[in-house]
Amino acid sequence: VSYTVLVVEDEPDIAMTTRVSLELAGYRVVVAETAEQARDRIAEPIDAVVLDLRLPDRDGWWVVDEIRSHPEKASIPILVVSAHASPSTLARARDQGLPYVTKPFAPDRLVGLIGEILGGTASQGEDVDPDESPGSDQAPPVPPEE
Amino acid sequence: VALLGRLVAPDDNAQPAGWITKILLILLACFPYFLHRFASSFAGPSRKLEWAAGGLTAAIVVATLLEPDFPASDEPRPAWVTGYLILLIAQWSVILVTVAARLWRGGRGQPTVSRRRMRVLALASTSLMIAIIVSGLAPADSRPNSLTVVVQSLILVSAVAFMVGLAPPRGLRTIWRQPEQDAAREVIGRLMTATERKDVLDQLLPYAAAMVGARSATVVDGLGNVASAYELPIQDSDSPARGSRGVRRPPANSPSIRIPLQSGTLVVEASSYTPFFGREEVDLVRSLGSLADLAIQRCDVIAREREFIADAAHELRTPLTTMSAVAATFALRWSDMSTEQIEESIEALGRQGERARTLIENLLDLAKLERGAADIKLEPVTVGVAVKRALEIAPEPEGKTVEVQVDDQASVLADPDRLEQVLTNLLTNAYRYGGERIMIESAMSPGEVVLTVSDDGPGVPEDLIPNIFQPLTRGRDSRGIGSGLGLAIVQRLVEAFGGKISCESNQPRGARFKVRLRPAG
Repeated sequence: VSYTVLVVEDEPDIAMTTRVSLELAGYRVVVAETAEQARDRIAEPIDAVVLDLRLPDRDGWWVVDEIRSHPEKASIPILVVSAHASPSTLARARDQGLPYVTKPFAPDRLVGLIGEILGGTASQGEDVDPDESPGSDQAPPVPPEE
Repeated sequence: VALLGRLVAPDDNAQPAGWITKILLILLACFPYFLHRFASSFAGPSRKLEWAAGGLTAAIVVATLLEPDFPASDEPRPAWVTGYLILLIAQWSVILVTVAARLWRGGRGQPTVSRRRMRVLALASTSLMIAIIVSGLAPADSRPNSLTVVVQSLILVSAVAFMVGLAPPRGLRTIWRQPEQDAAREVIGRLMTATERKDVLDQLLPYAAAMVGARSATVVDGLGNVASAYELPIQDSDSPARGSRGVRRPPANSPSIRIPLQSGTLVVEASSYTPFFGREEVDLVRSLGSLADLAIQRCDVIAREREFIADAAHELRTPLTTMSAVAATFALRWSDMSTEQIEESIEALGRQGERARTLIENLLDLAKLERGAADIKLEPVTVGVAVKRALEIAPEPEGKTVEVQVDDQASVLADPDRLEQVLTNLLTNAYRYGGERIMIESAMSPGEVVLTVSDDGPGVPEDLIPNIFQPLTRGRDSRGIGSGLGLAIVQRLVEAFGGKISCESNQPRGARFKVRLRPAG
């Protein structure tokens, strides 16, 4: 059984490229275009979330709160994607122990980070600092074979 | 003051009648008291001093009224006259010395002109006091001699000093003000190079405070919030250890000077001496305030430009994210990709490339329009034709209808291609953000032709309306479809035609863009 990643992204083309990169790395991908859609899909069997903070209906942080207060999915790893790498955004991500990438990002870096946070699901709340993560050079932790 | 000399050592041939002498003496006694009141109007005196000054003056007045006629100068001086003279000298000296001390102290921390004026007044007070003491203590039968010369010159010095202190000649004020002028020049230089609002206020406030001898200066914005504040650090000279003896009351009537700026109000908690001694300094602060306004406007332009560059870069980031991601995936994973994945990636590449191209073209167009470098030729354009061509370029998408009610005769002054661009942009905007029904109407009135593009959609959010024509202003639900520059370009174009555009709410719902143009002919 392969891991399923929920990609929350309102730009269809960015969502598509993210999806393709993750699919090529062996993940299953579901896409949500709005914060509300993302909330509705949390209950589905997903293992990780790639979350764009700028969404048309609500703030991405709202989705983070929704996930963190979900009875079963509270601890699934979230990778934050932000176009505005403002210090406050980065600080907030760090405070919540969330790894992040800023746009434009290299798809293999994103895939690498997802592999890392999924590999670390056993130790919850660990702060994965993307600046120190090997990122693109590293092959993603072997995604489960299909 | 001149009378004083005569009365204390009266002249032979000028012996006034008794009651006139009394009135003159009362006036004489009032002079130091008035000076005391003058000094008190800036900073309230201590209770003790108030009683001493008032009491001594009252005593003199009563004594003057009660006493018998004064002896002539050649008569022997009776004992009561000596007592009276001592009382008068005591009143003058006590009051003048305290006035001098208070003015001298008050000058501390004041701008140069005020400080000098107050100190000159203190000097005037002191030399008058010395003159009184000297002439009062002189022997009664003294003839004109060196002592008289001393007294006369002291009185002259005092008179000149009072004049200079109360109304210094312009030339003297200019010389005295040199340090403040130099400071002003320096501040102006820094204002003109500041690039942020905060820097402007940080430069202005300490200067404004120093200029009027204030302890603090603040800028309060239109809502009453403090935008910036400056407080003078406590100085040694003002510390109680070195300063005053006894109770020093806080200045009760220290005025706050309010200077309106475009960005708010400059409030200076001035010293109580400022309104009298530092009026020109206040004017100087006022003119510096208008310079600060200009500097702030400049900073705002710079800030807008910086923001615009950041926003434009951000806009480019979205297509770039897709394009670079597709390129990277092709490079690394081409052999693993399915035909479907390759196809959708290529489509996305095309879409985002086009989007980046449009964005850059619009940015360049906008830059040209703002520079006034766009080649716009005004000629009569028939509105109906322009609308028809705009609809050909931007036909209504599925689910939307455009209703046209345009006067066939309506003709405006515009650049034909650019008027089409205006209409196309407004139509595209309505397709994206508006409702299902879109209306294009024209109305003719003397002096203008009004073109209206309206829709029955959700309308423009209230908070967006003031900025709707600013580049890269977009509604929340926009999903980044447009470049965010269309309406900004429309506005610049309409203005280049000599017209005006406005955005308002449509009734009962939707948005309405009104373009007012000059009629042709």
